[in-house]
Amino acid sequence: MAFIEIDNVSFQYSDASNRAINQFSLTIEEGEFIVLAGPSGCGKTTLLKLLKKELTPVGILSGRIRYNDRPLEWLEEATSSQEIGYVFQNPENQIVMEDVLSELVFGMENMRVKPEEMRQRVAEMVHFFGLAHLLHCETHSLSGGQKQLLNLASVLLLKPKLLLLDEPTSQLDPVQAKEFLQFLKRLNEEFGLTIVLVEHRLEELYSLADRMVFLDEGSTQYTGNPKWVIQQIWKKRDDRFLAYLPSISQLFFYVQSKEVHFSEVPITVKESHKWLNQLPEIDVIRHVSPVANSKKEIILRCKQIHYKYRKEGPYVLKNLSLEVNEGDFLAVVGGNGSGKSTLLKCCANIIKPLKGTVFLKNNKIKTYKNETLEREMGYLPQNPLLCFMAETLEEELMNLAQRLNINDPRVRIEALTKQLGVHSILQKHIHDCSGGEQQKAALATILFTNPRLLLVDEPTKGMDPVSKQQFAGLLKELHEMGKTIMMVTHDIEFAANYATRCVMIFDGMITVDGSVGQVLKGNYFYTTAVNRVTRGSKVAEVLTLEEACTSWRIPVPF
Amino acid sequence: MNSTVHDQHPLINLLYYGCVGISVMVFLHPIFLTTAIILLVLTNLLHGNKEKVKKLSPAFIFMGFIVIVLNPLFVHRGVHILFYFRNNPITLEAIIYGVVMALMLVCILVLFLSFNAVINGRKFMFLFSKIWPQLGLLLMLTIRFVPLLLRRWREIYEVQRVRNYSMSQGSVKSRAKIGMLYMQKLLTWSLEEALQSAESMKARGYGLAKNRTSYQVFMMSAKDWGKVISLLVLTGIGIVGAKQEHGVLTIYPELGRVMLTYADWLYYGIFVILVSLPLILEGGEQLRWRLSK
Repeated sequence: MAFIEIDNVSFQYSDASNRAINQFSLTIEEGEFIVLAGPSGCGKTTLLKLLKKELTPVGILSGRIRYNDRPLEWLEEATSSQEIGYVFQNPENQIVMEDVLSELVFGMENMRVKPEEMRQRVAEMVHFFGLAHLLHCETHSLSGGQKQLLNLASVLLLKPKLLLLDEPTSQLDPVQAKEFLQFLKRLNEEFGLTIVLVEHRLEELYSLADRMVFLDEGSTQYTGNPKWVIQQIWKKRDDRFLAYLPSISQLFFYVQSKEVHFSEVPITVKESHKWLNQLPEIDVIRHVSPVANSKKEIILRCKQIHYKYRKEGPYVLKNLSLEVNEGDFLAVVGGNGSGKSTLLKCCANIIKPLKGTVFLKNNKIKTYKNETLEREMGYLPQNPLLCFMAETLEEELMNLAQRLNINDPRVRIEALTKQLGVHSILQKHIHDCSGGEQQKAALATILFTNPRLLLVDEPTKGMDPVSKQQFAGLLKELHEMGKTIMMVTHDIEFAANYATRCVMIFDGMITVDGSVGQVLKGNYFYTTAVNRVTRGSKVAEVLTLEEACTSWRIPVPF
Repeated sequence: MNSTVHDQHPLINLLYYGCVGISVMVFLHPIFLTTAIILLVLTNLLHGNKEKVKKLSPAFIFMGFIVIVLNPLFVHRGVHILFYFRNNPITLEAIIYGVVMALMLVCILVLFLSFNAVINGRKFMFLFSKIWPQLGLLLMLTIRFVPLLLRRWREIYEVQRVRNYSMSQGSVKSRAKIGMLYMQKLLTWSLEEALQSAESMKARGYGLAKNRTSYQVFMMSAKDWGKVISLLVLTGIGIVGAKQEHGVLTIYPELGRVMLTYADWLYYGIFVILVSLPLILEGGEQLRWRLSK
């Protein structure tokens, strides 16, 4: 008997005009690991919430959901909150208590678990998650990854049979995200926990999941074995989902034009290595790279800057010097807490370095007035909502125009929003827009003053792959129009595809500086999946899929 | 911070602060109060509260100073007139009374500082869940919310300041307007996020059962009962003594002797033992550690 049966379910929010879920059916067996994916607003989260009775939104529901062979609505609330665990997207907002231990036991205390039993469960779980050293810490002092692990542990302490996760890794950096997913894999393999995961970043999930379900507009588009799904999407050249495919599988399809069984599609680096080694040699087309323009003007210069947040704390930035040339698209990469965002804030004059100076066009940045500074550079924070004091984009831009005495604001707004593709959301409340829209709207407020230098902090966090591509396209376009862009990112693939120059920060200093290729190709870990596959193989080493397409002479199928 | 206070039952922590609070309010004598302040500051340092003491002591001293200055300006009782200020007599009694009140105020503030450090969230929940469980949880959530709001405020401020949208320039009216906008932004944002917190609480079954259980169960040991009795006895003796005017400086209508009598010294001893109880316990622990090696 199936564990969960979703049969022909449709759901319509009470204030919406069309269905969020449209005739959706899915059977989940006990112990399965299922990944749900699809563009923002395709109904993934709604579907997940329908499975958790307490969170079911208000609206019209038709069809049947059965849990353990009984209708879900018959399930008692106490059973539902114990047996079905739910982990949310934002690590911070799920935490209600001040210290880690209280947070862990919060659910159990609600369920009136006896103190002795609580102690036993906590002791076990803390050991499994390795949270022992954090037990008495305050929750706000944890990193994002630790917070999310804490949330997971708190839910698992209720001994759930089904675990629902709504984009749990979207706010985490790649290393933490990987760690989190590994935990899920262990839970699934070692304890047979049934897991339904909604996620955007799928690269690692193809090898973890038993089954993938791709959703669009509330109904299933593809479902089945991950490799089979990959092949189907590629065969149909389905634009909606192409961006979701792992880059190594895409590389495979580019080179291998012959029809293969889906199980031969590589999804891990290991499988790709095996496949590449069987290939005949691939010739390389030598591109003569255009000679770099002689001496460019330096637009931003950090000279030996130091910074720390607390008096007793360690230096976050130590004697860091950096020059940004006019026309650069600079990606700043590095681990968590290496000082990337701090560097950007120093450059944006948000914080002042303790020692050292930041120069903007040969003048100290301190000497600029805010008004003039805003015409020179724009800072896009990690949270795009911070750019909005007004409720809609239009209002915000009008206020900005008034504040900075910009003539003809209407004309500029019109042109700018059309260019960025946010014309349609001008009058929408900013909190109602999707993540990608918010990010673009925030970019519009920055570009409104027409600055030459853009400072962008983690623009791709929590974005679905299609929005990411669109946003990247925008940045690229702006770069081609002559803007200088300095971007802090965790997303190596993103940096490799679009940036021209890359610096890596480690221990508060810049350790490597060079073109993207130079910096990333040397790395073992901090590089793209395609690079890891092609390094040390018979074919020429490449960094991105695009590079492979242009520089490899793909053999004619034999 | 590892110290013996955290090994005790929270009720004893609470009782200690109650008893010291009462004693400080009945023994209105500069010598008693000064001693108490010194001992309480030491207790704070012992519990690792140095940073806060350092940060807040100027404010405390300032508050005390204001009381000392204001009392003689408004109260003109007493017989020893020192001088006239705008045709009003300034009396020695009023000044001394101001000093005593100031010392008491500072004493209570330092006591609260220590209270805050010792009665942490979980102990607080434990104490309050017996009386009013919902209130206890609500208070915990609120306490967590305050630093969260501050952090968000700073984030908004940082970003908007470089966008030339700050409260530090322009007329009072425009500053107030911008301030209100900041507040509005902060609240909309926080409410949005708080909705998610509420969902997460609901998902983990909050509100299903009337009475929640508590992970941390504190047990009263025999030693703890001994501490309860000694705290109550010491305070009881103190109150009786203070009723008989021992350890209390007579100020109005005429200033009495500041020096302590023999009976006063006795009560002083009891008072010191009461206030320094955490220090004594900690010292005993240290001594046991030394001897056991």
